[in-house]
Amino acid sequence: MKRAFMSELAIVRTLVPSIAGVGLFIFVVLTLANASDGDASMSAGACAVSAMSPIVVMNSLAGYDNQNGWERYRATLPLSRKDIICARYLCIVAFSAIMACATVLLSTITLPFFDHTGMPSTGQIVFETTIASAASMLISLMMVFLAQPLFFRFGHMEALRLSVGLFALLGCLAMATLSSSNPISNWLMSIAGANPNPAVLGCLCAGIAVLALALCAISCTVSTKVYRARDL
Amino acid sequence: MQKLLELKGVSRRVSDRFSLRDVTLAMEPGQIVGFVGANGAGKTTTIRAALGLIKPDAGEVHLLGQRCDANAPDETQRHLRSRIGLVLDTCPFPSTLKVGQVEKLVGPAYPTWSCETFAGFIDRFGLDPKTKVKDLSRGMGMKLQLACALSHNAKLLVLDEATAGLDPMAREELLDELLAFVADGQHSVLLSSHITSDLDRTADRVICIDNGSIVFDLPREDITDRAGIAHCTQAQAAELMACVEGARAAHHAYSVDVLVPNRREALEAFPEIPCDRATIDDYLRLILKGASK
Repeated sequence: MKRAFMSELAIVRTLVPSIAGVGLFIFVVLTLANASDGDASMSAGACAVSAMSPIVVMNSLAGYDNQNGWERYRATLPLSRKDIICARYLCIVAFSAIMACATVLLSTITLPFFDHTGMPSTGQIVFETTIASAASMLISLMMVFLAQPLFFRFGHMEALRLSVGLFALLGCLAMATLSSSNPISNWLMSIAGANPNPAVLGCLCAGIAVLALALCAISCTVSTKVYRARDL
Repeated sequence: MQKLLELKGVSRRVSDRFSLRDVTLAMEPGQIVGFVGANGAGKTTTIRAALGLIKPDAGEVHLLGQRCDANAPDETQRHLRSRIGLVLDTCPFPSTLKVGQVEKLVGPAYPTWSCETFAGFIDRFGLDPKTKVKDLSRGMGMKLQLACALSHNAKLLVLDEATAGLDPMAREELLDELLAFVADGQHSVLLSSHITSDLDRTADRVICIDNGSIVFDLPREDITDRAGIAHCTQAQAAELMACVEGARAAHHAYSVDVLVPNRREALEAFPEIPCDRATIDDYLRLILKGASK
């Protein structure tokens, strides 16, 4: 698997400048927009970039698979299909984690610049930004894990169409779950709404991480099965 | 002697119109085997089956004496595939990568990858490591693939239409590389090609596939040295066809070309009929399209 991961890294390295550039732009725009309002949601930029990264890297890597028959050629290299799948998942997780860490760091560094808006750069805000970014990344990763088997089964173009439908469906489900009349939404607001307890936030994030890990394992198994059965 | 590649009775239904049917072929070390056939005859599908890219419905694929198809254990597949080099008709690397980055993409997959060998080939082939794959000409793309295929101590090279679209000089260079590759008698090349003149020069054996089935598997000498094309009138052709076993005829407006398996025997029996050496192209055309007795 290490060999497949190293090979995958060669592609990811070429993606870093463009994704980081787009991420930085989104971070700056969202951070400035929220800070100028004196809003407390300074973490919006970091969260947006953390949520965006897994989906962007998944699509970019799938796009590379599609280029010039690279996917078929790669299948002739001394890498098993399981290696290829595991390396892909590892790459997406690692890249997403690095991007999330980078945005949290950036957010922490830029925090003192917004003291004039009345927002103190306290450890509490840094902690909340970290948790919010991690949760955004994990939720986005869960969406990626749901979509990834489609990419290995149907290829990039077909899977892109299907995954848009899947994401729209998930969006509708999320909106229904988080509507004010829903007890789940009320419970979430009670524990993670205004002035949340750091321990509760940590537990909530750990819960999402466990869920994401379980989904990752299931998705990886399904992807391996469908990819092994696929003609290339 | 251990066969480097062996397909035994491989069958695979690809679509309603096309199937591989009972494909059997074998490659011994030191050979360049030409794999010919019309477009859609099944050359690439056979290669895909040999490389484990598709699962055969029946039959077995053996690489270096070990069974290696899509169902083989991962470790076996890894080990055996590390001994194969592949060159395709189009450069298969992501187009935005640079030549130098391709090594980082392909190299880590091979336990026996040699950076020095790759750098040597890149230098020898005149490839600029900073050029993007999308900016490479067809010939340069083929050379980049060849550099990858030869940098990990492969025992078997598989070329799928790799000479298609290359200019004569680039083809010549490629064929020289292939001849050097098999010169030690330990390596083999499977060369799938439409350009049969390449095989006239390099192939030790020629295998022809048509409509998913192997039509013939012959030493190249049996085609280019032994067989002949007799240029006859209609009457001579009828006589020749009646007397010579395995003859095939192609009718033209004012003459008939007859493929005879043994040119010398035909010349002795019919000295009045001119009989030229056959090229692989002639042989293929008459076997696939010619009329038998």
